[in-house]
Amino acid sequence: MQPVNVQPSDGSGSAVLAEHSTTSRLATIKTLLQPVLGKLAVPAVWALVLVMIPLSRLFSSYFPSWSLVSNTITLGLFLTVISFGQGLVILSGGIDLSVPSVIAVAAFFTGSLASSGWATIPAAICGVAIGSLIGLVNGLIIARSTFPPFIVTLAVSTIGSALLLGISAGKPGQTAPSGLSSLFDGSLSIAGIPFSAVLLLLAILVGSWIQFRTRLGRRTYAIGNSPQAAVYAGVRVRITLVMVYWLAAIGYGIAGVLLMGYGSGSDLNLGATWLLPSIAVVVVGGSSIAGGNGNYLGTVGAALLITIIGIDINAVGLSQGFKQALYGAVIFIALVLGRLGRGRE
Amino acid sequence: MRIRKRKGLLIAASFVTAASLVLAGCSGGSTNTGNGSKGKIYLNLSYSGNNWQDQAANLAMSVAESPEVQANYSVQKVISGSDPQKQISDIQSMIASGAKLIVFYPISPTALNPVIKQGCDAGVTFVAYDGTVEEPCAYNVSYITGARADNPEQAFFGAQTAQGLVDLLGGQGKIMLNRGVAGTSTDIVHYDSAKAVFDQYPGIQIVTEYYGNWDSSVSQQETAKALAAHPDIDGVWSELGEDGVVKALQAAGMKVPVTGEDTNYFRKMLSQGWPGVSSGSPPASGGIAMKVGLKILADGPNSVPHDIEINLPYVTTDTAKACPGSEFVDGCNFFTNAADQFVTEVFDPALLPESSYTAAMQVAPFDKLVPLPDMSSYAQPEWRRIYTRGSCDAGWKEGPVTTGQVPPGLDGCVQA
Repeated sequence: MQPVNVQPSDGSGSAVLAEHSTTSRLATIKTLLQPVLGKLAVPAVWALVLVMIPLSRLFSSYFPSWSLVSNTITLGLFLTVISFGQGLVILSGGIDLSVPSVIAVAAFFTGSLASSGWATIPAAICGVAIGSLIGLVNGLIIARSTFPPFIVTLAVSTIGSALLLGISAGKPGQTAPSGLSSLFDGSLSIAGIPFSAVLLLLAILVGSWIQFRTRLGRRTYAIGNSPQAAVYAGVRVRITLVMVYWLAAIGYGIAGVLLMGYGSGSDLNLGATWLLPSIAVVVVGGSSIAGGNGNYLGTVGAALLITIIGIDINAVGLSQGFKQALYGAVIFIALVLGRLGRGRE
Repeated sequence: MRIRKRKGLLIAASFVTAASLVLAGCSGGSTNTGNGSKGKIYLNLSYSGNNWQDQAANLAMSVAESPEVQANYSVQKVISGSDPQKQISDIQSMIASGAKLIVFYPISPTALNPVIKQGCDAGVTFVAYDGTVEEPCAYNVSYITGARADNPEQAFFGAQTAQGLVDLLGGQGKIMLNRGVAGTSTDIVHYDSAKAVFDQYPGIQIVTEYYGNWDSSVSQQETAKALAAHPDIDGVWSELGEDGVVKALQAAGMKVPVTGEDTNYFRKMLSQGWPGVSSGSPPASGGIAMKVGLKILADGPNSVPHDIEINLPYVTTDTAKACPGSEFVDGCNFFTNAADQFVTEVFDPALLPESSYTAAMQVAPFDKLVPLPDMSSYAQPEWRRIYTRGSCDAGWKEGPVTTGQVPPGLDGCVQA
């Protein structure tokens, strides 16, 4: 056999590889594989979720168990619903800091309307509607100005929380109407499957439908990719942005009502712990933080993944400092795995 | 295009203006712009929006807005949020405006020291409630090192609830700890004193501990997670958020002893037979601190001790009792119709007998203030000073306290 001929004309050929470092070889492999891996990002996250269930054995001798799965579903539900909104906003190229205040406003008004005699469903709808006003104002300002979305959402939600503090006038606590509490107390389980599983499925279906099947969803992708190009393509950017922030807030509001049902009550700090996880799962789920690229199914997978990891780490008999460090490290690993699956932007 | 953009900004601006106007309208009820001749009193809380903070503030305002106080003083409530820098600058403004009395919930035991010193030098009286400050010129009114009313030797929330849990378990069993906000001095005092008790019982095994942030919702989620991993636990020791702990246990179909603080839901469950102990931080301290401050203004700086300890509430499955109306009668200690997260300890038979559910829920000025009794019996013993002032009094040094309090051996001050 003759030695393999060097062919300088082939840029990605062996000559170049021989001359350059291994990093460029990796880059080449990535470029070649990217179309395949890009499609694998969502299955990769879900595969991690499924792998984590048996792996949780490492954290507790009681795992894996049905209680692990049902807790992941119930606690993951809140993150799934919240991150739908955050995901949509991030897809449009923004970021939404109003999550905690919308959750608090929606829960507060649901509770206060219910305790003044409203039926559960109208009270919840009104509560979510009032909370979503924060999103509507966010959208109106962001669509009409060049202010960065994170500042606008911070300002509007600060005003919203302050108004709520004034309106609640020293009575922050609300009791959930019994109809809401029964969603989570096991009384509505269907053949042993907790009702939160049904809600989770519903959230996935509605969320995916909005992101992939509606004109709004497709326009959001276009705006996130390039607002200018979207304008040229005839997308009505402003109205779309208003809808995105409004719809996102409706998502947070629904989560607020659900959280209130879970705890059968609320105070004004109900949403305080959900902002950063909502951003984390969108990114871990494979979406670009810069917008234009993302998939709600990946976000849902990441929400369940982060939840199950939280449960696992909670089970370890480590002190809290180490637990938090471990949690951070695992999120980082999940992020890296997600990036490998998606390739470079 | 340019005009449209301007119009957009105009719309945005008008939204903000409208919102601010509504805000001003809503908060108008709780503030009084004093006239020049009256002395100024400030109530300064840190964060707001949870039941405990708002109830304590409502009680303090119910005292301060009573007719006899209003005759001589104007009162203003200021919310500083959870940032120490903001509280420092707020207090600075209060001093500058000629405050006579500042009753406050301190965010940090140390960060406020310089500004408090500055205020004391300007003749301002400072009374901290619930949390404590190390600056010696300020008065502390807190339950943190407090002892049970029925036995003054049984001190510290952490130690007494831990002992209660050990007794309920017969000294044997696996337990979980639902702690407060990580890194706060209060959480550390509670935890250390509880740990000192648990460590005396080799049969007690702590399988996991987690932080519920003194928040019902977070406590419920964290407990649900921990229960998934440890379905075989025999009891839970909890700081505030124990109502969430009980709800998580109920969702998992488990009924094991729980010790925690004073939420209405927890008391209600105790009264229905749930095994446990309800103790912890009373919001009554807000109202009591305001009365203490007013007494200092009236009777001078030495009319009360600088370190005031409020009794530690202690309610068990046997003693939990529903109140018939909105008043505290016959030793009742919770309300059938209050919200789950309502913190029940808004009343003190000696220090705040005028209190009611209504006063805690909304500012309802008391018609007549009941004068404080001789406060010397509420003075914190010197051997517990280290927990609130960061050092021992003159003539005392740090060391294990072996007499006068159970469990023996806790860190404290001993006579030099």
